[in-house]
Amino acid sequence: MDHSTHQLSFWRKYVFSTDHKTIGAQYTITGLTMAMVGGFLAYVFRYNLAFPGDSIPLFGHLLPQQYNSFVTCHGMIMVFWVAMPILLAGFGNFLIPIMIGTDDMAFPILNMMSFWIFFLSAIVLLASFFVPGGAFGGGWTMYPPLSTNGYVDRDPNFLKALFSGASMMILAVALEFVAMLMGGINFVVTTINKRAKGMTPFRIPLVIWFINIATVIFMFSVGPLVAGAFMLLFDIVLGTGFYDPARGGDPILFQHLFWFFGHPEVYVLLLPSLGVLGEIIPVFSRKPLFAYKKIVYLAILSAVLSVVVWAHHQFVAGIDPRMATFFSIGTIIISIPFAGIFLSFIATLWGGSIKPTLPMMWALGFIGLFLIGGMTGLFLGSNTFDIYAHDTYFVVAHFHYTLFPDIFFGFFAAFYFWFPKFTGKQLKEGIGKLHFWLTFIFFNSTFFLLFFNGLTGQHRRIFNYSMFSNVNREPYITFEKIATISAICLILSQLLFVYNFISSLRSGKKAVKNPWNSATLEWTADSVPPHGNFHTYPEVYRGPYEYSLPNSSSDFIPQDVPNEIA
Amino acid sequence: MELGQNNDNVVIPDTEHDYHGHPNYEKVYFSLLGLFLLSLVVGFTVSPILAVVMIFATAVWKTALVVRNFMHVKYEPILIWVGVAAVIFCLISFFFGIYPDITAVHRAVAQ
Amino acid sequence: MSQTHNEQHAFSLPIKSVPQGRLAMWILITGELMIFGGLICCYIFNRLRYPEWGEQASHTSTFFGALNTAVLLTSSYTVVKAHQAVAKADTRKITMWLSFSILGGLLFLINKSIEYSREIGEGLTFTSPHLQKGTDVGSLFWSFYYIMTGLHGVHVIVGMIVMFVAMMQARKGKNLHRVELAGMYWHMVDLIWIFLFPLLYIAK
Repeated sequence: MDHSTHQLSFWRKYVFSTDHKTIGAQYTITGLTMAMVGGFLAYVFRYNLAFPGDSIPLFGHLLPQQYNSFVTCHGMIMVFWVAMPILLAGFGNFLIPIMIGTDDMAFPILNMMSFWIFFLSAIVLLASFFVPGGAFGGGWTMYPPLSTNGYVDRDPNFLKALFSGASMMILAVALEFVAMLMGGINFVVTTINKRAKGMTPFRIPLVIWFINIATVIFMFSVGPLVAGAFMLLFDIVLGTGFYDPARGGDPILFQHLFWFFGHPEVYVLLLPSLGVLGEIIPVFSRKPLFAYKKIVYLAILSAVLSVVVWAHHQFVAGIDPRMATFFSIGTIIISIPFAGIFLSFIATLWGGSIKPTLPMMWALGFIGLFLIGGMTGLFLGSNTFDIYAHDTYFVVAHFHYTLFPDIFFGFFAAFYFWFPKFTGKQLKEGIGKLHFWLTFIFFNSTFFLLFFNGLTGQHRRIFNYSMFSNVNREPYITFEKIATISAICLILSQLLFVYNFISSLRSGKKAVKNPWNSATLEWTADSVPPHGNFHTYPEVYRGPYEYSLPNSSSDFIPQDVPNEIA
Repeated sequence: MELGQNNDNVVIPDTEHDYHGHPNYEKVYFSLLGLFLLSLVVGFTVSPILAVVMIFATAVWKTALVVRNFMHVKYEPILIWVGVAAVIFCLISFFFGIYPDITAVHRAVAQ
Repeated sequence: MSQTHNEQHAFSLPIKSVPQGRLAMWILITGELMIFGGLICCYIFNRLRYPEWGEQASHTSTFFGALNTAVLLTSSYTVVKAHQAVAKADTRKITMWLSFSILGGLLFLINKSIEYSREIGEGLTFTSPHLQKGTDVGSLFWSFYYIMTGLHGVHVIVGMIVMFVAMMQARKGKNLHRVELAGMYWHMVDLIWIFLFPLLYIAK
């Protein structure tokens, strides 16, 4: 396919582009914009938690219903409109074709359509804030009966029910699923069919493996929830009784449908970032990735296990206690493959020649913080402990200690690593380092104290804690204030990132082709790879992590260098 | 990118050329019809429980026939088999994970 | 830009690759099977919990259900004959077999609408408000009936459109490989019905 001859109009080149790099950028920018929305919502309700009743700067007084909506939408937005587009669609689109040495995805037009459907889903979600009744406020999990009767006083007017916050949220999520499924088909087919000559399966970079495994997990687990979401939508809009006990339905059915997807979803979100770590750590330790093949098998194992542990989110919902035991055991077992992956990252670092560059700092920060999140997850995986801790701030702190490093540290690590390649410019190191340290410090000061609030029994999703004597006392009130002020500082620190991004794009120093001396294929392309990525397509002769080989004269050997030359 | 473009140095498998043999489709079709009629008859003749078992057994058998022969999974590489097996695994996990909470709960308790 | 990219494809890999279109269609099919599989499991849970649904299920027309099953099985056969004709690039035969399959789909939809109109006329609707009295839970059967057959019906329509597009292109001799892909989708539609039929019509 000759890419150089057609000159495209502005709309075809930048808006309705079929080039995977442009689509990756579109997904990432949309995700970052939605992160600002989600961050603002968090700011508002966190401010209210620390200073209840005060007028919130840049917002005004917060009503209880708004608090519920904001908490709900913060969660929804961060999972589906920040994490999924940045980590799965963004990384996948940017990295897959170029790291496997091909020109573009297998189905470029389908790829473009998937982005615009995703964009539409974001619009639908944001629009739900402005319908009568406002955005849905029953928790991102949208459990019935709150989502079907309790919140929207089921409006007999079909159109009003259809355009209620709850229905629009369901529609937005459904559109987002469609977009991700379309993108997912692209990722898997491209990786299986369009690799460069000589790139056997175990010469594929880890991040590509992990993005594909994550995509497969997503595609298998989302089906029942699509069915369940239809049923929920019909309950809301048409008044069917799928989840209504009075008519024979069962709310617990929805919980199962939701979490059958919801649990594998967290691994869908985790694996791409772990893959990014798997690229960054070898480069900046100048050592091959330890046990690369085994890590791939461990990830596949964890994918298989992830579909048999979902009900640990429902320990206190009234499920059969014998099943609770089964799910509890499964949850604890599933930590083993992930522990193996992390241990292998640490083993890669061990004895390596560590270069403390910015991507490496984000990667190391990720590992440290995620370990805290992961270990607290083990506590929660035990059904007995969970009886106490469920729906408290202990859970909130747990999932922020896993998700925030996963989404933000993972994204920033990838961003600082690949920015020179995709833009041809260098980022400013000093501001980057300041960004890292401020983010690291303020993230911890925001969330660490919340573990203690949770342990003392502070429940989630409550507007006014003045009635709860165990919470409404020192030191927990001070902890709330510290958390809020840190959260504000955390959000403000991201302005450094925005500044660095924009100013480096406009006037940054030109970057060399391979600033990090990395061995994978994308670094052989021009910085700012052209449409089609490569002038001549590479042929692969070796694995992706050939650093510091004992009998080699050079520090590293790129994948496309044949044996005779090395 | 059009499949079917064939350069001399590389053979790109595409679906225009026969990559597999064709089973006897007529035989498969009549087996399907036969099983279908069997499932109808069984509904009226044998005891209810045996009928249910047999009806679902025929459904599974028909599915296997369609999947293997019409969808040519018999000839596909192992990747496709893994995909089909994964669907079955996920659905089994789904079914047995939820079964106790819905089916085994007496209706009065649920209401 | 010197070489076309096709020459660099590594098809001699240990993972035996499947051509793009077919692989993509298989992924789509597995996704759809998970959706219907989840829905069918939900139905089964409730069906096992409420034996009185057998009484409700007796209101479905076994005749039309059986007729639809036969129609879909036959249309699956005709579409695979179309696929067989692709190997000989016999565009006339391809068009003929595909039109039979599309006709089969149309017949299915006609039967279904006859059934629906009869059932709705008897007051057995999606919400069946008149059945929701006290502890009578029969209405939920009908909610499941309509959502399952309705979603399936949507896929029948989509399948017909896909086959139609493939047929129009095959008539001109273009994109013959798409006949198989359309066929695969249609087989999936047939498979789902193979399960829906006993669940909704026979298990009384």
